[in-house]
Amino acid sequence: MRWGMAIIAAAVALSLARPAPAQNRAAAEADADASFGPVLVIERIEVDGNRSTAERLIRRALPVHEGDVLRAGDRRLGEAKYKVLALGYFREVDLSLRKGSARGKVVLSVHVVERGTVVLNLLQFGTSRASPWWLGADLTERNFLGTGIGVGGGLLYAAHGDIVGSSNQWAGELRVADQSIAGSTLGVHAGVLFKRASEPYRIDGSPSQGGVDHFRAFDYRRIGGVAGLGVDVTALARLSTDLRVERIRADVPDAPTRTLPDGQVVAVDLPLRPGTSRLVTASVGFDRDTRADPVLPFGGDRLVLVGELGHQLFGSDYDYTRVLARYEHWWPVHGRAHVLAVKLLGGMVLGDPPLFEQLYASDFNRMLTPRAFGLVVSTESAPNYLGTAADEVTYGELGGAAAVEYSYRLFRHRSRIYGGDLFVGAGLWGLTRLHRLNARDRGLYRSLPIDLFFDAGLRLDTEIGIFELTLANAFGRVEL
Amino acid sequence: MRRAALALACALLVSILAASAARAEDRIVSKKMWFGERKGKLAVSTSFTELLDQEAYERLSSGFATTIVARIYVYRVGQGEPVSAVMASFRVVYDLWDEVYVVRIDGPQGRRTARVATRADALKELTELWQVPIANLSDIPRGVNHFMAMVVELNPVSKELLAEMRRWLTKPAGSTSIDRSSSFFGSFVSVFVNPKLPEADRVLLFRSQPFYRPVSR
Repeated sequence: MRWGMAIIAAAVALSLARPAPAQNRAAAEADADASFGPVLVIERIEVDGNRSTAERLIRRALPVHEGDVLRAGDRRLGEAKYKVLALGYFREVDLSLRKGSARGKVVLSVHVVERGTVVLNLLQFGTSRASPWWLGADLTERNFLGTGIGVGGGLLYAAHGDIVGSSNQWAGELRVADQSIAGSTLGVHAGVLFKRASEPYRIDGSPSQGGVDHFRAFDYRRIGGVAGLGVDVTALARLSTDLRVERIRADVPDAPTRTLPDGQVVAVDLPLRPGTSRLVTASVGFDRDTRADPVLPFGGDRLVLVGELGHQLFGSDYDYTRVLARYEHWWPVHGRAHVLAVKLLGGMVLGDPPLFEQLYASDFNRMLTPRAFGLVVSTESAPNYLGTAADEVTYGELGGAAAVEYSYRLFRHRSRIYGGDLFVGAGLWGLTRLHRLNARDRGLYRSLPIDLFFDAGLRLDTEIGIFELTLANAFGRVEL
Repeated sequence: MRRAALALACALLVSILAASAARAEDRIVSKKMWFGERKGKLAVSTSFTELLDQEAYERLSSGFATTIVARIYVYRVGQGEPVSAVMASFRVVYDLWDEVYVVRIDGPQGRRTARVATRADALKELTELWQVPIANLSDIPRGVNHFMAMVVELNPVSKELLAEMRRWLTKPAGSTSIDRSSSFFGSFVSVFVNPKLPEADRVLLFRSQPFYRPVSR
């Protein structure tokens, strides 16, 4: 627990150690005097152009309302257009003022042009020795029937390979969320999920031997749901809390063992209750993002903290605590064309978590194939560049990564392909089981399986979405 | 490995093509400017009327405030760091009832407010610098070539507002709280209608002709 607290403390300290993001000085100084311009009374607000979006959503987003008395130079009027754009439902927002019924009174007209609000959040596909192919997609309609409610879902299928005991995997998820109940800072969200997993585990061979002959697999299923609340604590920070309930059915093999390269036979720990079990957790999350451009960032930072507790008091068969923290900071160096970023990520799980809630090697090492919708689709182990046996741990309870990334601004444009950045990065990552640290025959430093990872690629911000082309996984497949 | 190399080559090709098409956007406009000495300061006179296109010009009468921010730098030729930097902001709002344009200028000479009757006069007030002090003469040694660079933004948007506008990119509606699984750790690829949200309605970059203070005899 002390490690978990330390991770959170470090992340918060890093976040608070810097001053609040300096506002664009020019804009701030220009807007500083709200006494500029004639006094206006907003007599009426008219909205048009919204064919499917409810008018109340637009009115709620406006920082001015009918009856407000303010100067024409008031910042709220200047920001009104952007507050409506921030909903993410419109391609264009045009505001105009005209004379009202009496001197000083004005009518504010808001003309909007709607845009498509379906987002393809995720597309996952690939091939590996464990799974000849997998394919999945996750979609969200952000403005369902013009109500401002987001409805989304994802589906993934992974064909099984030749691992004995393996079967086809698939996962599905449905979500609904209202980020702003009645225009307030409070939001609510809920979702259901189903996963049919086939989990591989090693029975013999060394970590570098990724062949399917060295693995067996067993099946488990998860079905459940999550519901929670979120609140915007500032314009750029959100606090959320969740309650998650899942029913797990696992066909865990009896007394699974692994034969080590030296011939020794050891038990394999597969932390899932045989038969049916229940997982109930409560979690709290905090997310603060000050980046002016989250796609091609050139400044600002992002802090994400998540704490989750599963306990028998809630009716859970798994008692555990899980803490995850991520902090990233971007600095422009020598103008905006060159950007340096530091990315820190850490996590810790204590107690008796189910297998899929443990930290996974690809969570920290981008050179490994990530879990697809939470399902394991590859048995490749991490490269072991430093000889610290980082390839031996697939699941762990304590993990982290620290990376430095440099990105170079290739271009910025006002249409179609808005911008592109090339990036290269490198870092250290580690994942271990706590018992390996507690019962060790060498110093703590030498017991930590820390290794290197590399990444390089291209990020694009385009009219049809955002893309990251990365070579990290290809680097991971290169045998040195 | 062959596929990875092919992917990288394609990515680079796309980037280079897009970059070459985009460079025109960032072009620096050369402009002839007047420089002189005024009360111990280096002063400049110039204009940047071209910042406002027809649409922006017509919006001067919309009743909403229009803001222009000019950041002015003086460089010694051959050096990367400016020897001086000053900023000026220009605001105009049309009074719908009195039918006049109220202009407020904040700059090195302090604040000045004016009321003008026509849109053309408002444009002139907004986009002209007249003998504006931009550097102490003590920072401009005689006989050394200098030049002035100017970044002019029309209706700049604060970083906070920009962050707020693009916030939904990282928190798509419908996602359940803060993601715990792969997306907590993972990278991003997302396909959607993605309109451009610029940091300002328009940004122009100007560079003056080289100038120097004559060596006194």
